[in-house]
Amino acid sequence: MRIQLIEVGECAVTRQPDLVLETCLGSCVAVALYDSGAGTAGLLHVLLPRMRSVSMETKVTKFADPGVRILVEKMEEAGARRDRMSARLAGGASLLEAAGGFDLFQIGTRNAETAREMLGGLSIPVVSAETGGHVGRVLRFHVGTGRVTVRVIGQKERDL
Amino acid sequence: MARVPLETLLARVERIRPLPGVARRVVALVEDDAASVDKIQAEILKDQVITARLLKLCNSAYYGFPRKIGAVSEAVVLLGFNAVRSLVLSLGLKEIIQAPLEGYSMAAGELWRHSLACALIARRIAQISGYADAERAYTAGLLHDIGKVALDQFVRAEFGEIVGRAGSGEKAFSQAEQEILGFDHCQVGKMLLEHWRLPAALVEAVSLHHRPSEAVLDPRLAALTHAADGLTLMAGFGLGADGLAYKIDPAALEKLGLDTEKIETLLGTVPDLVGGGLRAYED
Repeated sequence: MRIQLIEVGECAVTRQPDLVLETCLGSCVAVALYDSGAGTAGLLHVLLPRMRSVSMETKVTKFADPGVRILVEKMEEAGARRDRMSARLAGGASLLEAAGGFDLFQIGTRNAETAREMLGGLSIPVVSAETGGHVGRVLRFHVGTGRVTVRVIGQKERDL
Repeated sequence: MARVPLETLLARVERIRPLPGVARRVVALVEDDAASVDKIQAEILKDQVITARLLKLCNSAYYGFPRKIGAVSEAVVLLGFNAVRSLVLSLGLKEIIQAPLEGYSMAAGELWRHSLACALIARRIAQISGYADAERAYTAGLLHDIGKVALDQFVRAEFGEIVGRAGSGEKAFSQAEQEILGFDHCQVGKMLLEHWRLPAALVEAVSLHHRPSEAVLDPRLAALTHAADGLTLMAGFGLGADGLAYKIDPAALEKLGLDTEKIETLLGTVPDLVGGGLRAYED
């Protein structure tokens, strides 16, 4: 088993069965896509919901929009079929809300909502998700089996 | 309830491996306005490991200087006293905060990742918000969670109780530490930095990084350390069992002129900013 770390804003697609993709999440959301027929796995680490402007952006996959669309296109290029893809989501935590509130707290929630919206628009079902709360999470994606696990930091790993 | 006696905590603070001498001496030279290129170079050259790592960093793609930096004095001239202080302090700190922190469920190296990410974001916030000493902001970000190193064993002993209290989603993790242990990691960070004789405004920013509105010596430094920590947690760098269980003070963001749009833009720069920084410090 080889572990490949997926950093903030990265997008990876692979068919290597001995590989495990791993990513660490605060308010970011991980989108794990799998096509069991093709054995193709894709993982996107979303930092922000939407790109505000196209200029100066070097890594557009950090945004749910257009990151999810790019992930799906990369999956298709690697031999996956959209009608066989299923998605799992994790992350999207928030800092505690202070008196007076502030929009900042909604970034995690908006990341998850935008990712779901994008997947819905591409007719890809979300079969499992664990989002929200105030915890850090580590997601692992076993490429060979399509198994996805999530571990709230300080707790035990479980299947997603 | 297992409140930690002050003497026990102070004894623990004194047993923490100190910053390397070169880091303490370079910080002192710059803080006391006694720095010169020759004096800083002389101090750095006393430590061969730090010298080699400093030159490697200065010649990395992260700094992108057009020509090779072959001597410490060149690095000091090119970067300036304050930036060299930040570099030497970072290299020194990296050596002493690599161990895992079981109480916070942080694997080896995670506190370093969190600290460097926070430092780089704090420096960027300082630049955006017009805070004059961006390197001081960097230093506050770098050291903000140092108290966790000393408090770790006590948090580990009361882990279930602390997580239980903080897990409700209403109470900050530091508040649960305070209630159960009698101290939080911010107060312990203050003890440690005072023990290392670091400047008072820096100590204040570290000790109040979760309560920045109480700062009096340098309220903006405390505010930007607070904001940088929040963004570091959101981006997921070096998260522990305390996760994101901290409150952001909207007044601190307002003090820095950070609205939602600016924060999102800033957060968008984090992958390159922090990713590049972490790679530059890899051995």
